[in-house]
Amino acid sequence: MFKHILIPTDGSPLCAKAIAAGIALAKESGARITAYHVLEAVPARLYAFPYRGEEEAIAEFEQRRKDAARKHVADIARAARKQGVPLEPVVQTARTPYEGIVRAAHDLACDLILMSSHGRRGLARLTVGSVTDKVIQLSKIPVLVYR
Amino acid sequence: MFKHILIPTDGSAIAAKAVTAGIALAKQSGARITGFYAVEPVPAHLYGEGYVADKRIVAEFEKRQRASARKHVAALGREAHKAGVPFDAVVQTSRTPYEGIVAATQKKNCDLVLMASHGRRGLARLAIGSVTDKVIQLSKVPVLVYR
Repeated sequence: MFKHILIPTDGSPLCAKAIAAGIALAKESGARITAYHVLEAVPARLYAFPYRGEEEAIAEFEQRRKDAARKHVADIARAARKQGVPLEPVVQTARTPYEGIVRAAHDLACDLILMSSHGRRGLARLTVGSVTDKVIQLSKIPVLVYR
Repeated sequence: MFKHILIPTDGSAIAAKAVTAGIALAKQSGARITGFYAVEPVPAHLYGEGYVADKRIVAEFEKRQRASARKHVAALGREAHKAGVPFDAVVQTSRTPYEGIVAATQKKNCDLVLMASHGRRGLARLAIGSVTDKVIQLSKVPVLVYR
């Protein structure tokens, strides 16, 4: 019933569970997967006074993050290939992860977002918030949440 | 991949969308469905001064609430039956809907909760909150959220 599943990943162990489930669901549904990793913009404070001019350090930072992101999505691609599920990796820059996820789901015409939630509660949820909760509020398509 | 899907409903139009999707998913996965409606206890203010002696009103209120709940769950059951999906109905009183949903999921050994979200944002979300969000925080099994 789902044809194109977006699986956002942040490389955390929690995501692994959602990824395994996503691949199984895609196999059952005959769906393809887009594995998605958001690169947040480098924090502004890295550009501030004592670092100003350290362009090399910032470039290095960005490069390493990009490499890490590519590695994460490549891991997922390998797991999907083993199951014979078509998968396309996407690494993209966005202001915040939830904006990137919602935009990618829309741009790529996905019909399901499958992601995990850290499941913070109480104060931690109020302060740190929940990417998943934001995605649910903004998404036009169903969101399958793993814990 | 899912074997037993819990579909909570509040009888709203937005829940109906989730029901249709839930039945399609159950059919694809060969799962059975438990339709769930949480009946909230009669608000305390009905017991307040002026009403205190009138147990009949409270009893009547509860009776009608349960009747309406059964009606909504039965409608879900009819849809499932039409699609040839095994169905079970549960109407239960619980202090809040999300507690009822999480408890029923555990008790019935469901492996997925499929529900709609009204998707309130901003102030309305802070004030009224989101049953779905609470379920995600507390559920041990995945939650599939429809909008």
